[in-house]
Amino acid sequence: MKKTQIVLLILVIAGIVGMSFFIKDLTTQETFATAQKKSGKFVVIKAQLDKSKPIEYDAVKNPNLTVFYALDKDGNRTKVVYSNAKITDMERSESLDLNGVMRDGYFECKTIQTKCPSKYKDDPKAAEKNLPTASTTK
Amino acid sequence: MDFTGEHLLPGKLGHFFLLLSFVSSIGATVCYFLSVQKSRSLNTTSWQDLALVSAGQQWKKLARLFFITEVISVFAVFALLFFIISNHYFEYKYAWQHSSKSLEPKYLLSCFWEGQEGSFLLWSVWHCVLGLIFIWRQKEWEGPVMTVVSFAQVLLATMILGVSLFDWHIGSNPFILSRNSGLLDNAPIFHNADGSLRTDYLSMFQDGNDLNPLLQNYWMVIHPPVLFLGFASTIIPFAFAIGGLWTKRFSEWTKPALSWSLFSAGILGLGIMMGAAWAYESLNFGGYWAWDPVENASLVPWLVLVAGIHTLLIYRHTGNALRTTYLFFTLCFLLVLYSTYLTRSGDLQDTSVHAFTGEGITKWHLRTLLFIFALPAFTLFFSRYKKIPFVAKEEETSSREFWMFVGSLILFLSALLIIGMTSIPVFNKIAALFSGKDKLFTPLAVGEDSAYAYNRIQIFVAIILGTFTAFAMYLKYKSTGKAFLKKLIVPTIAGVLVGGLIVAFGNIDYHAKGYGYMAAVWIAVVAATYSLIANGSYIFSGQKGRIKKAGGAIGHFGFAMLLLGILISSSKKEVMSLYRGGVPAFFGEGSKENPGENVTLIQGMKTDMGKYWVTYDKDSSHPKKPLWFYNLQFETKDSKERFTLKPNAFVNYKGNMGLMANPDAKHYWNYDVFTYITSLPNPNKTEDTSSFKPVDLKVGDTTFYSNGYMVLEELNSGKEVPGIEFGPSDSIVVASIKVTSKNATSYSTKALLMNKDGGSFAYPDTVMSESLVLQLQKADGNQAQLGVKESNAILKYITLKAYKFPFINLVWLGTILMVIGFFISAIHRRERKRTFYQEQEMKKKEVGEAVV
Repeated sequence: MKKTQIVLLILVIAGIVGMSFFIKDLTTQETFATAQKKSGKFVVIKAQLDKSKPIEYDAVKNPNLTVFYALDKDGNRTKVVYSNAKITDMERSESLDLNGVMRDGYFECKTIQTKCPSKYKDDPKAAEKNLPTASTTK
Repeated sequence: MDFTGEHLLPGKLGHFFLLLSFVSSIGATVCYFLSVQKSRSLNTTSWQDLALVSAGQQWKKLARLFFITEVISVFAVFALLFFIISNHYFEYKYAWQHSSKSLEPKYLLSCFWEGQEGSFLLWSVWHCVLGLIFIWRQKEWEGPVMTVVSFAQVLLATMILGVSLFDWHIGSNPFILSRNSGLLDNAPIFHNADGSLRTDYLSMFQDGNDLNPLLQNYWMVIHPPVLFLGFASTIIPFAFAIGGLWTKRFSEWTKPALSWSLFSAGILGLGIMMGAAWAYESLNFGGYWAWDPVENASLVPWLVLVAGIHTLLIYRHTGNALRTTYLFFTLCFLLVLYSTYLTRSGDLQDTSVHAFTGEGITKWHLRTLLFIFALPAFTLFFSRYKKIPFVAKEEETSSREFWMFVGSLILFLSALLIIGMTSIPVFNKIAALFSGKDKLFTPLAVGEDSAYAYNRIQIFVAIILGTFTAFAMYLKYKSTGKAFLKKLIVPTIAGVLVGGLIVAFGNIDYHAKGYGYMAAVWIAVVAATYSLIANGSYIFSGQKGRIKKAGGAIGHFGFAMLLLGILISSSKKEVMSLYRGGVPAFFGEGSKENPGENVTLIQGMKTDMGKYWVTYDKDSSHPKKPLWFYNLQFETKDSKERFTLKPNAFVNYKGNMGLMANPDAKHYWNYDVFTYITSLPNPNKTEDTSSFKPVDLKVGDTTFYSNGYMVLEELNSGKEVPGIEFGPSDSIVVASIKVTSKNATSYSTKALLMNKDGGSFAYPDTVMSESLVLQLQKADGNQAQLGVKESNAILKYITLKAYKFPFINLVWLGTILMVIGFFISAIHRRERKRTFYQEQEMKKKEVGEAVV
């Protein structure tokens, strides 16, 4: 075997090992119900903010605690505890990717990815709503 | 129907030039293709072949004509779109959507790349510029390379063509009118009673939608053009490789390709790191790199390109690794296209902080772009693979090329792993296609700590590359003698020693991920220091300080510095805003909850943050925009140093709830203090609902409130207040009250009660940090009635995060040096190439003379 081939072999093995570490740590997208079965395991839940309930966040009392309710894609509602400042555009979000662990009765959220109508552009629909008000100033 | 106030000419011209650029790029592709086909594989000087050569020349002339037309069209489109944006012609959707009248002129260019269409246009413009330079400087390879470039231009043109064929909508036209784009359809005020659009609709446009505030940053003016020049320039090495395979002149292209690819790697690297600088300065994920898919997508082609440059150098010096070079250059460009698909199709939406939406340009269009290049490129590569020259003899272990080759493979492996991990959403999409409705497949997601998932693999890449770049420069091509190896001894000892000292005394105790990982970080720090010292001394010992030839050493020196900067700034990153108010009771056992990183600062109150006392003292606003600046006074606890940071935020921008915050940082030579706002009081909630509670007091009496007590110290009545005229029956009473809070802080307040013109007016005083409002309601001798109100509504506060980044300047300085290294090499290789040609010509002459 040539040296480069040996090196190549080692690298392939290293790559597979590295990748398998990564794959081992991969998690799955769940609903609140299925996450309950995997209680204690880190999962991702695609959910929506339940806008009928207020988002509890009092920066003066505790700037690292946000509590809100979310609906998963099956429509189940669960309390979510997020140990961070309230995400600023949360009310506007279309969907939330909740990354965390299901606990007894609530979902403990580590990180949240919000998906807003459009991340780079302002929502054209929302902007359209603004147009009439802009013209009434005439 | 005519509408008042519209400027239709620029749009019509723009659309004309769009079509012209599309047609002329097709023309250029066909003509360049034919020019190559006619004149390739000629080996005799027969009369027929000469005719073919001249036919090829004719085609090439025509192709140039087409290409020039194409260049003019693309520039015209760019200029017209800029004209529309800078004149705020809101009848065009692009201008309305991406700009506003209040936008500073310096950001007008940024409006271009906010949208998909402008970004592709920018790409196209750079292809034109590169193409012109190529035709001017590189005539020998013009045919094949320009065929590929022109073909890419055809495809880019389709992105912004905006034509409908049957039911197919191809591309998105940037010149579309607002009234044709559906923008106004749902807004009744623009329409007459019968539903038709009002002729004066344009006068109702007060202002545009404006540029996203996050993009209103000077880095956003310069980062996208540089990055796109980097992306665009990767087509040149790719086109060289394709040209080599196509014309079967397998090795000639490697000479000119070297400086082009060095330039490309320099620019692309610069563009990526400018993006990192933008993220650091205006995004608030608290750093310059987050392994976000958008970042990965630009890094991966760069890694492969750098690998390709190294294998190309090996080939130029030893004849080895040509096949690998073909593979790397081909993959580099295809990865640029794959990245474009990933970031612009919207398929990454779920995993990226800032993946662009797939608006306008469809996913299928982007996928087609990738496959239309990948298929012929791979077909050519594999069908001609066997014909690509190679050297059967094995490289010696002491040779430079052996270690360069292994290093290139590691760069490539690193790139593969990163792109593989980034492609999880694509994998999910493909898997979903096969799993159907029975839902056997649960979509995958990256685990708990996604950055660590990357870091723990890439740390080994850093260790290996740090070590390799340190010693490989000291080796010689083919074989290195023992005498030469001795030169390596001093830098090795010095490097390991200094690296060891940094580890020993640098307090790099990053054990959040266990001691194994910390040891890996330590080894990587030593490796990076070793490389820094070895390459630094090589500039002088190996190249005798001749800067012109030292491009490689300078580039590696910069890379090592960048590596060291990344390692130290990330592993020693320090949270200054640790919340000390106790861990919330919510998190029970089994929850490894870190203490919070958000701290709330109440106006006027000193807060403890590591080395500093921090006070939020005031705020100010931008004259034209809802942009607020919050002044934070930092004072070291020994009072030796003070400075002010002004993180800012757009509050309730464009009717959207919430804020968009931009960080601010204080730069020292060895660290940065970095802070940004995470939350502000909700203005809707601050309606004051609590009322004054009356308390009767005598002078000297004490009363309590929830957080302490207060003493009525004095009651003074008077008749003189500057600026107010007092009548005979008018008077004023001043109550001096001393408020003492639980933590023994005292505040002196003065509540006023004025009797004027028969009415009484109370002027309350507030103790901001105690949420306390005191009002003097009645005063009679030494008797007073005090109104006490405790309300959160009066509180002015901000919530923020603050970090300390040590040695972040190494990251920026290392980047600059690395890019300079690339450019020095690119220039040097051009010069060397010329002398090489001259030598060849000399040889030809000699041979000719000998024959005569």
